[in-house]
Amino acid sequence: MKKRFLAAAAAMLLTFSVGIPTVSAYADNGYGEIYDIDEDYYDSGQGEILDSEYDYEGYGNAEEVTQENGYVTYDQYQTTARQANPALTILICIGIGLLIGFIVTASMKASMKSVRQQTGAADYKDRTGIKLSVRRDDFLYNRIEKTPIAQPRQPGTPPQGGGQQPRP
Amino acid sequence: MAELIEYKCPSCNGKLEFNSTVQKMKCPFCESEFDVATLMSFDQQLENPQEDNMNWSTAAGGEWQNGEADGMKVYKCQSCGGEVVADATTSATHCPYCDNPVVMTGNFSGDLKPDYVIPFKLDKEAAKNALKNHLNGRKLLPKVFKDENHIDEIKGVYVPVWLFDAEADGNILYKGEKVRTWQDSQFRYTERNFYSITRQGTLDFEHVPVDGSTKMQDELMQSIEPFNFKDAVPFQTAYLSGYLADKYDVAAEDSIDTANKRIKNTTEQAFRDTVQGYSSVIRQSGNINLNNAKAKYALYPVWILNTSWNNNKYTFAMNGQTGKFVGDLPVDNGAAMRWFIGVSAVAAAGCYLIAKLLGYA
Repeated sequence: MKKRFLAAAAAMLLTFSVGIPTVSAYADNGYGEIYDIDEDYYDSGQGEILDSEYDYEGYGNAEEVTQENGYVTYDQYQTTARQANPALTILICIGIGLLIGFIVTASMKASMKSVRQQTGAADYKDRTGIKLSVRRDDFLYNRIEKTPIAQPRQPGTPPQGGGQQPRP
Repeated sequence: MAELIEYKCPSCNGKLEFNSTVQKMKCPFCESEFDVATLMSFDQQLENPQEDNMNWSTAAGGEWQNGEADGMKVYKCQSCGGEVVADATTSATHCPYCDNPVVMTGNFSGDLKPDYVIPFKLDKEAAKNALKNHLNGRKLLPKVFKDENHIDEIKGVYVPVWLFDAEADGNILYKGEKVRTWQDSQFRYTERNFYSITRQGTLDFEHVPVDGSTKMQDELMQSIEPFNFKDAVPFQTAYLSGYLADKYDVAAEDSIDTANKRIKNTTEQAFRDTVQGYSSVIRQSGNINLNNAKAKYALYPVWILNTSWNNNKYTFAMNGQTGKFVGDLPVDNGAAMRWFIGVSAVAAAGCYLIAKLLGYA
């Protein structure tokens, strides 16, 4: 049973840990500034000009957008590249092996100890248990805390929290 | 002139004032409101904490009758100084605690006569089997420990214990908190209700044992508990035949602290278990008094094996009544290292295989 548990734990650790060598590419490329420019366009009533100038459907891929105007599209934020790295995988496997070896040996060592101090006398209390003469719960006071709930963003209002929002 | 009583807020410790509008005591700092009667009761209990009263009557043990202890010999260990008693038909050659030779110093005299004895229910064969089972399957155990010669040296000893009977009378005040949460379209609300919780009552304890011998390790004796007092009989020297009996060298008065701690811990836990339905509970004050507290002197049956390895002494003990066997075992560090390397290698190889199957390597 213990071995089965350890094997499952090792497999889970491996599944999570092998994600480490994968490379996630998130390019910011001054997106915050781009957003500021957009806001300026909207503020100056030029929002429509912006929409008409850039036909997003016409762009083939993210690279093309970046090359032509230096902007980054939503597609590029979602781009991730996974690569196998055998050396790193071996290192992680050795690390997991050492961890499992340590846990198994430590549990074997712990099983060699059986002498423990008794802190209570539960084995010697009367079978009828505790006899309560007073059992009172009196209300003292209460306190109510109010925490505002974050509201979902309305269409047309600027996003909060920065540069990960896609351009409209 | 009447004394002005000042109440403090149980929430923030600020000075409370009576609010005529709500007819309650109100804290000007945290705005909490309190019912006057509840507050008075809570304040009274907090301001009059009573000390624990744990006094014992330690008139344990009896006097030996004329000729009753005749034929009992006393042996003294030249190494640890321990004294054991055996009847004339049982000869002691080695100290049951340190395994060094003992010498007979004369006939038994003095000391108190035990009130009770729990006779051995399990024989030497049962003890040897229990020891074998205890050693079985231990991968890190040095091979020398499985040597039969060691197992043959197991000895039956009556260990002196002080038995404490008492009625624990407790009065404990807690502060409890209940939390309720809900929300509307704009806010999440958390309501915290605070309660003063009073518990008073009694809990009886019978025959709480405390080891009366310095040679027997307290932890070892406690580890083979519990002993069942229903098998105890009034002491007769006949029960010692074939066994050794240790003489007590810790007085009942000196064992009281240990008994008090154990009784107090269990009483507090029993009271705490009656406080339910709260998300958090804090003990505010309380005291535990012992009524009808008295001690008795008894002999409990224990099978003991002493051995040493790498200059360290190892003692194993089995409850001579229930068969519970305990004893810390030595660890063979070489074996531990071999197991560590072996398990690590197999686990690492297994991980690598899984990684390869999943296409990560």
